[in-house]
Amino acid sequence: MNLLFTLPSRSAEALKTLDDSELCYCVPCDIISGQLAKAYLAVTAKSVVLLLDDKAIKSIKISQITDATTLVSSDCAQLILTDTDSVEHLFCTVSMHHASRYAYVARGIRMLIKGDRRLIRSEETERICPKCGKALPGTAVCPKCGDKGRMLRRIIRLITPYRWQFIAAASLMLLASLLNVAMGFVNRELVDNVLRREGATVADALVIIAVLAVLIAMMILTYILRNRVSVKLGSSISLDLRERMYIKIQQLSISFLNRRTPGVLMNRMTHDTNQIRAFMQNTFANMFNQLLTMLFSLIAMLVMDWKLTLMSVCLVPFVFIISTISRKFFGRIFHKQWMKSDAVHGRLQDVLSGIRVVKSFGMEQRESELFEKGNEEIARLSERNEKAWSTITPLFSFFFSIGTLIITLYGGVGILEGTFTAGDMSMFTFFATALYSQLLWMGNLPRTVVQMLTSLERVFDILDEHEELPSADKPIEHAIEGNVSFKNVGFGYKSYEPVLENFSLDVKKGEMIGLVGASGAGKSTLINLVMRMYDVDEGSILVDGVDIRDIDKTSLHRQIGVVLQEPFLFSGSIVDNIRYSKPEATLEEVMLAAKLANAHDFIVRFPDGYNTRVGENGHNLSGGERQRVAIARAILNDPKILILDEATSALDTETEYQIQEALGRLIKGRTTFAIAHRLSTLRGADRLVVIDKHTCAEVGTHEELLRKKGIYYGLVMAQLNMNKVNPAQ
Amino acid sequence: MNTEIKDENKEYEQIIAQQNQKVEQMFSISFLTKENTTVERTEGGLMSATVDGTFYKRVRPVRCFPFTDPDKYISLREGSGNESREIGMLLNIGDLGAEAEAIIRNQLDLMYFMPIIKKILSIREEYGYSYWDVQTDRGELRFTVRMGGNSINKLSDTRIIISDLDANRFEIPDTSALSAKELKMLDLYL
Repeated sequence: MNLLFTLPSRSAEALKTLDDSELCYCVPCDIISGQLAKAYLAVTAKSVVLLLDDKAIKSIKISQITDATTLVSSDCAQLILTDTDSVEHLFCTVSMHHASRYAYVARGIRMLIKGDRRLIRSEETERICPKCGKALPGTAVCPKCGDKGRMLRRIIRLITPYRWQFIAAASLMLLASLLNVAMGFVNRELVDNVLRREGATVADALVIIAVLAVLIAMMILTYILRNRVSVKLGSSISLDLRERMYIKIQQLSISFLNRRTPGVLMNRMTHDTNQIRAFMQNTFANMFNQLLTMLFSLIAMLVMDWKLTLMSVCLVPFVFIISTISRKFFGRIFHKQWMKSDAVHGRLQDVLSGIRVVKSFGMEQRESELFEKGNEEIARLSERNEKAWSTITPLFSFFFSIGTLIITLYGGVGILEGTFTAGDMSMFTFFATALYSQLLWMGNLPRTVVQMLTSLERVFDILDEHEELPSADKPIEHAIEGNVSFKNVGFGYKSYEPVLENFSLDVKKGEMIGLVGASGAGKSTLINLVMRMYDVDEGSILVDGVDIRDIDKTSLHRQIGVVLQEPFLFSGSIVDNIRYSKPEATLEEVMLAAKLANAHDFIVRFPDGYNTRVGENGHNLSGGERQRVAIARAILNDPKILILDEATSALDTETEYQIQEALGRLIKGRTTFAIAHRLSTLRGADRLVVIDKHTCAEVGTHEELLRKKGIYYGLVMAQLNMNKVNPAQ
Repeated sequence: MNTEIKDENKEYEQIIAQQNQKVEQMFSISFLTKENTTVERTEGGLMSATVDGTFYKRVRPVRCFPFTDPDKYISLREGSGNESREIGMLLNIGDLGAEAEAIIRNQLDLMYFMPIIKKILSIREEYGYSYWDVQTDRGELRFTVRMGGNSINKLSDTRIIISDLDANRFEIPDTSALSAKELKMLDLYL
């Protein structure tokens, strides 16, 4: 996202006269006193200036501000600056188009206030191409304005491994077009030298027909081969892309993946690669063929009779325009029908999933009526559209046949006058038909090509993404002992929203740390940092004195065990799921882990024991059972660091007690980080850490913190009160 | 030891009293009147308020029914985002007098920016997006709308709200007031 727009030269001059220090940020401001306007907000190292019509209409010195925030309301965002007298000033208002830009700029101003001259950059993508104004398909580069050469080089690189198949497909296409032309000539031969010649015998006719038959057979053979080659080409390329994307997605950091929903990634893996495959398979194969056939037909016609050619071709633009208009028309009316049916289906889906609500409020009658009304409307629309379609499409054949009529008229007169033979006319008609039949198809070509390019851009958007968690130059294979220290750690998911600031803590080997704090305080974030799902922005995290950024990522992850609130089990057997953390584990090891996790008994009670299928279409485990399988999975690898993120909060009290017991045994000798809302869950912790206001607010044992009467005390009191709602019962 | 327990009990009771007060507040809406409330425009162009003698430095008015009743049920809030808290509710925007109304309206205008489309110049569709060129009460502008999905919110048969890619919103208060040509362009979205 661009944070440094270029000022119009006269505005730049106006700014210079006011403040000639370095320009740090410059972004458009599109609302001035409630009206749309083309103003700019310029932030220099010394001041914040609002420029309208090449004049500075507002300005404030950085030294006079103490804070800057961007406040987003329902339809617009406001930049609010606080001055040294702690008066909040509404500096400017912008539409949502620039809202996120301003959030970054506010953060930038805050850094300037602190005297930090580093500039912040935004990795967010623009939604609309600043160059052509077209919507971007979620990519950083516009498929339309992007460097065309780069795209072309990519396509070439993509097909280089398949160049022989490519050449084969192209030559087959050329052959098919040539065969088509040859057929035209043989046709003329048939009419002129056999059918219309005095004294021609049946044998003469048979020869020609045999030649025709061979040509047709060759044609069919060519098509079969061409189709096979292009199917192979299409699937190889999409397979290749899909594999590369899958590998890349696994490597990319969580923060990249979080920016794109699973749906978007799935779509790119399946839909977009499929689109590319379909293009290679159908359109690419046809494209050259059709173009070549058109070209050859046109040349043959021109050579025969250029006047007649021009006469029949002059209708082409006309036919083209009519077909374009009608395609738009039909696109429109069918789109409307589709939208309507979509709305009704959406409603239907809504009602079906909420059928209990409908029934419990006795609204069946009303829902039926609503559905009926929508349904009738769809039926009416569909009837009208289909009628229009079946009336108008036959009219096309008429337009197409006008060309043939002209040829018949002109050719017929020529034959009668002796300047044209019947064979000439037959051949001419043959080519003209070939030419016309390609036209409708050609109209769709630009759309198909753009669709393919967009898909390709989306795929490369992922393939081109660089890894955000760089591996160290020489990653260390470190055998973890369990000492973890946080040194002035700072981190935020978005650069303008810090989650942790200046967080420091030393955790000794084997210690259990309970993390406490309001939701969103940064407990899970801290854990994500220990697991190195993200890299810290400031400071460092050391494991046994080694920076975790220097430790080999795979080696680090293999030595950390994690149990989350809603454990995810893959489709497969229980043993496969437990073994996920250590595929080479023996069956005894698996059983031992399950025993430790208090899971062995219930697993053995299943008819299929450890081979019981779980997950999709499998045996339905209860929440507690899933949790215990997840714990077994986490400890199988004998991790030195154990992370429990609300591991027992979704369970009933009895199950929680059992799991807590199991965990109590497991955490011995392991450094454990546990998050829980229910404070009783953390009673086994050696130390509790309260995270508040982005940093470590309180540290100590339960008793120490209670005596302190701080945040923790308040939390304990609030929970006590909750439990005492009805003391009489 | 004994005093410590007493202290603890006292604090415990305090916490309970606070929570009960919060629960109490859930059962009623406190409407503000001219008698107990004044609002002021701050030096920085924002708004402050005094309610029952308590001064609130930064207050934001929020519409409870922005589409159907924009001038009724205005919630005055302190703080922002998820931590904002209601100080009180205005039944009608003019309840605090004409001067206060002007200040509140000014603040509302800053936060609600939904241009009203006066004239549609063109709507061009291309590959799943439509590009609109319109005249509004706030000036001329272009915006991009994703086709399909929830870009068009039909409040009634003739009143629609259009959301663009950036989540800006635009209103057409009465589609029947549009010309036949404009209606034809809009047809696809109705």
